[in-house]
Order: sequence, then structure tokens, then C-alpha cells
Amino acid sequence: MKILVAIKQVASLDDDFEIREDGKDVDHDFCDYEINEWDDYSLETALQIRENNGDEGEIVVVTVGPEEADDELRKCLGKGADRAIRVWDDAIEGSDQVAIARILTKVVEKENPDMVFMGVQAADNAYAQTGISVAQQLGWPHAAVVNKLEYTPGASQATAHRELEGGLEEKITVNCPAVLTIQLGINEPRYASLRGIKQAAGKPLDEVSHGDLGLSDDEVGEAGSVSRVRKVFVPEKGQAEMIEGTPAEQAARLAEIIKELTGA
Amino acid sequence: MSKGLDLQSLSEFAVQEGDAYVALALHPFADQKIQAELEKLVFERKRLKLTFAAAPYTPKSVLTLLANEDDEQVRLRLTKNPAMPPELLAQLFKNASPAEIKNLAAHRRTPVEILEAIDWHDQVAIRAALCSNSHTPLGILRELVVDSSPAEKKGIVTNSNADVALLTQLWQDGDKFVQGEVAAHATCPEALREEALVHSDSLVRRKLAANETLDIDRLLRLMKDEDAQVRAAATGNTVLEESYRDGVEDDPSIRVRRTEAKREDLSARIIDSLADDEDHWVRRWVARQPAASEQVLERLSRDDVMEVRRAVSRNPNCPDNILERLAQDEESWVRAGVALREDLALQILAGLEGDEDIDVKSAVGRNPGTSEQVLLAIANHENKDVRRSVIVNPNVPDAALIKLQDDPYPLNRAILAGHPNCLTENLWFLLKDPEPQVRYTAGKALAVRCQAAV
Repeated sequence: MKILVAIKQVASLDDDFEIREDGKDVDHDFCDYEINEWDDYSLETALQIRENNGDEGEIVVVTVGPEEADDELRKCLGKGADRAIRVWDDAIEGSDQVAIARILTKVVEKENPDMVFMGVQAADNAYAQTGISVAQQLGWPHAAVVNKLEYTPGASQATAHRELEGGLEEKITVNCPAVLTIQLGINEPRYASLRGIKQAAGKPLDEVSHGDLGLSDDEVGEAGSVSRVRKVFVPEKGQAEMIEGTPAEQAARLAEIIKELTGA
Repeated sequence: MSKGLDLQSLSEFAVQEGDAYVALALHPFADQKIQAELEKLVFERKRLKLTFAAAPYTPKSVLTLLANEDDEQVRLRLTKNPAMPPELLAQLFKNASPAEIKNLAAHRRTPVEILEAIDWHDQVAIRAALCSNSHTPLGILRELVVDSSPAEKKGIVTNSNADVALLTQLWQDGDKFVQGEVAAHATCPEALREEALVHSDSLVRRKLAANETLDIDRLLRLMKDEDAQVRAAATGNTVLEESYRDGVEDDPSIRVRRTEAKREDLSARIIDSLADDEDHWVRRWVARQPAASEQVLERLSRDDVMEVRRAVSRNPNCPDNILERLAQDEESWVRAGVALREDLALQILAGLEGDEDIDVKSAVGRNPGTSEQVLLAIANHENKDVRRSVIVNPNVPDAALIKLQDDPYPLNRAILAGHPNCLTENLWFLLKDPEPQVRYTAGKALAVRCQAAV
């Protein structure tokens, strides 16, 4: 049994932050980095399946990201994942969710797992597309927003509960192997023990490039993307003013505001 | 690695590990030469400077250095840092940008002379900050109140520096919310107290009733108000002694009776009467009253509502025979209340030591009377919150602390690092913790111990 868990190191912003000079992202000096919360639940789901399977099987975590993302992979290894893979090189910079999914698809094809777990979405970019895009590129069955899972390693089908609007749930069966995007609250993620973190230093963490996966330059980065970030900005806040006074005073103030806005 | 108490070894450790957080903790304790080494780590990256400029735990010695940085983003964070000393805020005022001035105008530690020097005219954000700063002096408040918006008035009116003239003006110009705050103000003038007393809006009367400078006569009138919230506010006013609160225990409103039950000056007669109240919140508060008689506690300890029985178990004067029975209660929350008592008879505590409920287990873990063997077992419990209870037990055995320094839950290690129970051996171990907060706390605790040992 092998489960592949895709994770992402996401950025959380300071109260006061600045946009990068090219206007396409927040300046990294103003970000803290941590594992995407949804991915914590995905990994825990995989760990519990293995524990219920008599600790048999392999859990591989994979991320697409720069060297700093090793911190998150090490934490996953500290919790019990067996191996980690980090895919990165300069050409990958600027990849959108479809290009990232293309990279992950290649990793899945290479690893040939029985299941792929991913978070429903990333806390920073919130596209909620990568998991489903991987399933589409693989041609595998998929289920999104899974909040309960019954899966026995080796089984030809898994039963998943999906969270819907209005408090509804949908119970479905999917053929395996499949790609599932896992919702928050499906379990209680564990913390890595210090012993586990120390042991993780000795576990394999492979670094591969897009070329190692058989991808060409025009399949990754901006060239391999179907969307472009044009601008990241803080929208201007609307202003409101409570106009008080007599009807005449209110009318006078309203006229003033109209003049201010129209420049009259 | 040395296990001793010596600042030199600690600093060498920080430098060797390249740990900015341990370096930050040691900085105020180090001599100039070591400080220079530590500063290389603390200021190594811009991200660290920004983090430490905003952090309320950053020591003054580092804040002083950061205040000299010519970096607007660092300065902006410093002007918002609640730990900034007044003299550094004054220093930042020189050459401050409008955004920094706004922060200084809102900061509770900005010296008054700086607040007075701030030019707020035509600066909406700075005006708003000064209006909401409780230290803004009266002279500025008087200027601000002219042409103030409703939101600014609400900020000004809660300022304790407001005088009678200012409060009178606010009463005249403000809405019912501003008038309510005027009525609640310690400096509220007599004439306005009289107006508030008969105000058509109960909000204003309620605020007046909560004013601890109000005279007895007006409070007694408010005790008869038709609005229960007003009566409740008057009932809770500490000025009104029990002799003036006659009949409150029979008030038709549970809000009033609950307020009465919470007071700390209840006589045995009132406690006895409220103990039979139909509202279980009233009975809960009564059950916690230290003046409750044994008979009342006995009665309440058999209450149908679990929270009432729990309250009895937390009463400091609850006798052993009642505690013994509550220790067998079917509800674990009640048994946990008993187990939390530091004065619990050892034979009752022993009976709870085998309880498997996590609330009871946590309470037993905190209890100084718990046996060493049981504490060691609780330190190995599967539940992270249960394990944490042992850390704060004043009689925690060293073996349990050694076990808990390796706890997977970061909060447990952070609490251990900051607790007086923590062994020096623990602290050295925690200096290598993966969590920066734990390493900082351990470094600071070790530095304090080094200093005390000299």
C-alpha cells in the first residue's frame, strides 16, 4: 500500500505588509511560512489508514516549492511519513495551479500510489483546483471536500463523505486509485514528537527538477500555465459617513460630498 | 553542551546554533562584547527585524537598537509594539511618518508631551487615534471635541481626563450612547446625573446605575426602575450595601437575582433564600459563596443541575463529608471540581486517582497532594491537555518533567519552559526545540537563573 500526500508551504501575512516591486505578490520579507492547514489533515488521514492497516504500507509526501519548503517536509517525516520529494528549479517559478498539477501528475505516475490525498485548497492562493486538476490529468476518479473516508488498502473502492452547502453531506464510492481532496476537521492531526523530528533528519528527502520528471521548459512556469497573475493589490476601502442635522443641513452636506466626488 | 549556569556558555551556544531567538533572549543579560555577537544573529535578516520590532516579548535592549534603524517598516512596527518604553516612543516621534504618528497617537505609553506635540488638524486617522487614547490630556480633548464625529465622541467620553465642562458638552451634542457613557463617568456632574436618572432611554439609566460614584439615594431610586437591566446594574453597584438591597432576592427578574447572587458581601440570610431560587444560575453563584452555611451546601450538593453541584465542590469552605460524596458523583465535571481542590483530604484524592475521565485526570494532575507514581502516569497520558496538568503541579517529580520536555504538543513544552518548576536540565534541552517560542522562553529562563546565581 502506498499513499502519496501532496503538501504546500503557504504564506501567512503580517499586519503591515508590502507588495513586491513587480506588483504580482507580497514581498516575502512580510510573510511567515507554514504547512497548509488542509494538508495537515490529508497527512493525518494517510497515517491513520496505515495504522489501521497494521502499520503496513508507505506514505510519501511531495511538494512543489523552493528549499525553504524542506521545513514542512521534515515535519511530515517527523509525524511518520516515510519519504519526501521536493520538486523545484528556477523554471518552475511562476507556475499556476494547472502547471503545478502537471508536475504533481508526473510524480504520481512515477510513484504509482494506491491513493493520492491533497488538501481541498491552499490557505494563501485558495484556487482549490490543484487536486482536481491532477485527477483530470491522470484520468483518475476523484472526490472533493472529503470529510469522512472509509478505505481499506488494497480495496477496489473507497467510500467518501463529501461536505456540501447547507450542512448536507453526500456519500459516494470512488474506484481506486483515486485523488481525494481532504477537508478540515476530518480528523485531529497529530504533532510531530521531538524524537520523530530528530529521526526525520535521517529519512530520505529527494530533490528533483522538472527535467527529472520528463517535463520540458514550456510545460512549467509561466510558459506552462493557463493563467497569469497580473496584479496583487489591496482594494480601496469604501467610505461611509452618517449625515446628521436638520434636513437643510443634511442637504448641504450631501451637496458638498457630491462636489468633492465629482471635483466640481 | 554544558549543563551549568553560565552566560558565556549560553551565548556560545546561541552563536554556534545560529539561533536568533535564543540570542534575543540573552541580549539584555550579556555584556557589550557578547551582545555584539548576539546582534549579528538577531538582525541577520529583515524578516527577523520586522518580527522582533512587532513582538511584545522583545527586550528593551533590542528595541532600543531597532529604534535607531532607518527603516520605515521597522519603525512602523515599533510604534505599534505595546512593550515600547515611553522614551523610545518619544525618540521615534522625531522624523515620524504620518502612519507612525497615527500609531504614536494611539499608543498607551506615548508620553503626554508627545501627544500634545502631535499635529492632528486635518488628519482624520490621527484625530481618531487621539480620541480613543485614554491618556490624551484634557486640553487636546477640548480641541478635539469641536467638530468631532459620533465615533470620536464615543472615544472621548470614556477618557478619564474628561472634566465636567467637556462631559456637559458631550451630553448636549451626543447620542444616547454618548450620554450613557457620560452618566457612567466618575466625573459626571450632578445636574447630568439628575437628567440621566429620569432619562427616557433605559441604556442611560443603566449606565448611571453602574456608576460607582453614584449616591445612595439615586441608586435606591434606580433599584425601583421598571427596567430589569437598570435594577440589575444598581444591584451590582458595590456602593449599595446589603441593607439597602432589601427584597432583591425576590425580584421577578432572574437578571437581578443573578447579579445579587454574584455579590461577595451576601449575608447568610440572603444566601439561604437564594439557595432555593428556581434559576440554576442563581443557585450556582450561591453555591460558590464562602459564607454559605454547611446546610446550604448540603442542600445544593444534591441539586439536580450538575453545574450547581460542581460549584459546591469549588466552594472553599465545603466540608469533607460533602466532598467525599461529590467525589463519587455520576458527572465527571463535578468529580473534577473536587479533584482540583488543593486542600482535599488525601483519602478522597486517592479515590479519584484511578478515575479515567480526562477532566478528572487533569485535575488530579494539578493537585499537589497527588502521589508521585500517579503524576508520572499522567505525564504519559495520551491526551495532551491531561499531560500539561502535571507541569504546573508544584510537587511534580523531576522524572515527569524530563519526560514532558519531549512532549509532542508545542504548547506543553512552551509552558514547561516558562514555568518555575522547569529544571535547568529541561531548559538546556529545550534550547534545541523546533519551536522558536520555546527556545526563546528557555533561553530567557536560563539567563535569569545565570544572573541570580552570580
